[in-house]
Amino acid sequence: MSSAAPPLGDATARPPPRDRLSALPDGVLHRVLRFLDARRAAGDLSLLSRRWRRLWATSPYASLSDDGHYSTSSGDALLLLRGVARSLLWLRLDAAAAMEEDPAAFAHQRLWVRHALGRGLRVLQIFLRFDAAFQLPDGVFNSPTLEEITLSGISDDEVIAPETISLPRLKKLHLGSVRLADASVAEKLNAGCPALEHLSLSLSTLGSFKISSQTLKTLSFLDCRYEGIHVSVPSICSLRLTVSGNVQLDGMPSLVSAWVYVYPDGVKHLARGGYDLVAALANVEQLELLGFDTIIQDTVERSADEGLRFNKLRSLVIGEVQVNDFYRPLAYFLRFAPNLASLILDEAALEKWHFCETQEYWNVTDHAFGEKNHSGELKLVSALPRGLERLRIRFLKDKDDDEIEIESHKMLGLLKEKAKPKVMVVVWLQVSKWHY
Amino acid sequence: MASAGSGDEKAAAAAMITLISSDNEKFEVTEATATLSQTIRHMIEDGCTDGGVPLPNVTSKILARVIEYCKKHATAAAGEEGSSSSFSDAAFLEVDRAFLEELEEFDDAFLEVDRATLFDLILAANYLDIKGLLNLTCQKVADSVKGKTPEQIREMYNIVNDLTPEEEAEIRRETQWAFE
Repeated sequence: MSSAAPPLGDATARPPPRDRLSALPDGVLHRVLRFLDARRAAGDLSLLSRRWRRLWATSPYASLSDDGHYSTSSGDALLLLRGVARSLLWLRLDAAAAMEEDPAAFAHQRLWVRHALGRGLRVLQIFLRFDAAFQLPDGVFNSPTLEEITLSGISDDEVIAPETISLPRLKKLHLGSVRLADASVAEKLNAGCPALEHLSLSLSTLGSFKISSQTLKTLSFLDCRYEGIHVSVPSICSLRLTVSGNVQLDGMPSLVSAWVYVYPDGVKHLARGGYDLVAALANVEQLELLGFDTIIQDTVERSADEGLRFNKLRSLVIGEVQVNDFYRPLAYFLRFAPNLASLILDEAALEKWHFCETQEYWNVTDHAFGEKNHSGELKLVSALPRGLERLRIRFLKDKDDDEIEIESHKMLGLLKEKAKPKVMVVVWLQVSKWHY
Repeated sequence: MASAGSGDEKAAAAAMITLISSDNEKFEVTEATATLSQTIRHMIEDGCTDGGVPLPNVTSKILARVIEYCKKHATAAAGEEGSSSSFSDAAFLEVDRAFLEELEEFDDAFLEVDRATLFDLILAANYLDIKGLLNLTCQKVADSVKGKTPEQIREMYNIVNDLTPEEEAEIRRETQWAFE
């Protein structure tokens, strides 16, 4: 593209300031429009200039949100009036407005999804913020082009029961707040998604779920209800799991990081008191264990017999109600992890992990406090390995400010003297302030 | 017993690439940093990076900033098309969380640039095909027009309205549904 010659004539006349925005290539402007509601792009922005007039209609992205600004029928018009032969690669739907209990809820949105599926859709993202089932059309589960599906709902009524699943190019699947109709859904997923790399199921009801895949790299089951999960994924690198039912983990030689939260009554579902679960994680470099109190104690006893070791473990986070009660199993556990460099002990993680959007609690550190009966904490010091690169401890206590001064002082002194970590952060949180 | 990866192996893995800006300045970067750019990744795959990679569309000033971005993001998983942060559970590990926060702070600070630089960054990200940087900069532009009238947007970006009143009326008629 050649630029226009500079205007001749009066040398003192300043050229008009450049319009660099309109000069961007179509593909880039489409990407800008992607962050705006498509109806706004079609409405206001098409009035900017001739350059902008048809941009919305040629974009391969469409983001439609029901935030009360736009009628649903305007979404119909938008998709209908886009360039007829245009492909639509990316569709995002946000439904935030409250809606009456309505059997026809999302009827328009389902049409949009069908429309997009017929135009080579690669990424489908649906975010629902009110309590109704979207009722994903079966076509979503049978698409030759889809690479990513996200459905994040809040309703328990979203039942996933496709007759068939054929998603040869699907790499990412996120489902939040869904109910799998029966065990056959998992079987269909296993067989119908040969390229799947990331699977995430949250706040969902899974029944009995066996995932078996040669391609999956990351897998997460968060806050799900299930009778049993069986993971047979040899190439998995990263696992996130909340334990509320029976869990069976087959060999995971490539596992690098794992985050496991055992619900208070979760341990009763686990084989051999959770030992098998911990043993399956033996290859990891980064490990976060929450609510493992009794499991680690049991593990310690068995480990001595069975030779379990965590030789690759570099970073360990333990979330417990009272880490100072935990010093003895921890001390044993740490013996099996000779290469540990970073250790975090956290009494607040259990309560807060699923709320913890922010890190502000790390900043509530000014006023530490202690307790008179501190023997647990002092013993804890002796259990910690020497010379860690990083040590962080977060205590959650129900004590008042005055005792803090003395006690935290003592503890910090001991830690510096005995454990000698290179970097150390110790935080005392006051329960009352914490919940405030 | 299998031995752990030696230091030599690691050094070999960190192959260096030379990038050459339009004003002929040379930048040495690791392959991991350079390959955040799909354009450069393809050049490496085709084996045409010996003697440096000339980038005639990118000035040294902008290239330095782009490299700064890539260095920071090279360790994070490369942002893929369509990945969404709002439903991400990548941040569950404590270490990841800390790192992601750091990245966010970095991105915010990175975007504190004047408009001319922002456009230069967009063009560089587009040319080098760096999805994360392109999304970051395009979102900044999108955010800047949110809640603005067409007239305000024209003023902000020096857009000349070349629509005749008739055309404007026609567009309004055509896209009336969008205002419903």
